[in-house]
Amino acid sequence: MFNRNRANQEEALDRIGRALVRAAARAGEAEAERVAAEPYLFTRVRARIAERQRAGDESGLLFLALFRRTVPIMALATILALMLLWFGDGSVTGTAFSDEVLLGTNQSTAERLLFSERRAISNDEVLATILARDDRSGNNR
Amino acid sequence: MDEANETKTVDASAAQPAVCSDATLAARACAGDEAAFEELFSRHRRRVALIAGRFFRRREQIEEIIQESFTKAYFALKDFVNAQEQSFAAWIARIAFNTCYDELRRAARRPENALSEPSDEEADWLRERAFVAGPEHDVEANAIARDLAEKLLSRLSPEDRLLLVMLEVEGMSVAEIAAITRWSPSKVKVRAHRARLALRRALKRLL
Repeated sequence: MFNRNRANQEEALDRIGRALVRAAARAGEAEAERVAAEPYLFTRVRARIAERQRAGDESGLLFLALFRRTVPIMALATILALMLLWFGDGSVTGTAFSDEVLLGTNQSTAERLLFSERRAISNDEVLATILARDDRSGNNR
Repeated sequence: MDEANETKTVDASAAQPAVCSDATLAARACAGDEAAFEELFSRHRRRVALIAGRFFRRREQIEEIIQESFTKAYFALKDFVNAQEQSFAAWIARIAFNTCYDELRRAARRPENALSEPSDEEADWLRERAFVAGPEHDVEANAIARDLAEKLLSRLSPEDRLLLVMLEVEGMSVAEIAAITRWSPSKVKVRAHRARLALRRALKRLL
């Protein structure tokens, strides 16, 4: 009974929904007919086509102009980079990629002393530190 | 005498323009013949205007759809001439539907286009008629129905609206809709089902 009522209700909603969709779609029919009968419609379409063509030509020209300017600059930059690489070759390998830098053997004595003191703290040391702090706080109370 | 008759026949055939097919006109327009494109425009402008009228009521909106559809068609003529798969009428209809769909999506993004809520009078009117099984033209003939329909449809997504118009107003088949929207037939079916559900929900909220 309940299902039948629900089905009827949905059917009614679908029916009125269809009618409303058709009503909305037909509401513009008369206006559409009037617009279609306008005398200068094609002139406006032609104007729009011409405008698009012009815009397309302009963007093409803009791209060409940009291309003409950027290509020589890029070429010059590439030549410069190649020249730098070619002529500055020896000096770069001499310092930047030496074994001393990679292995760290070029460190000064002070640095070596500093890093020789650096080592990981063991678990026993951590425990001892905690216990000592607890003892101190217990004594203070 | 015979010569005079022959001249008359030649004159008559010259006066009557030869009726070219759409495909021939499209090929000529593609080659740069503007008169051929104007002829295509004259033949199909009404159909495109009516498609625009299915979705929009304002004059400038309908005109915009016509202009945009034919401009797109002009620049895509080469594709139509090369493909030759369908009639020009079906091809321009597809462009027009897609242009309407684009415009609906653009309109949905603009908050100023949000329509007002249905009035109490409209809601009462709907309640009165919702469960009375009467002929549909009674509903369609009423001006309230049109305003209310416009408000209800504005709540649907552009996809739902496009599908409902194609199915319920244009009476298109799933295959035809699939060809226009370039969706798969199963996607069209699923979307159509969802569109009907969305419309039902929108109506339920009012009743």
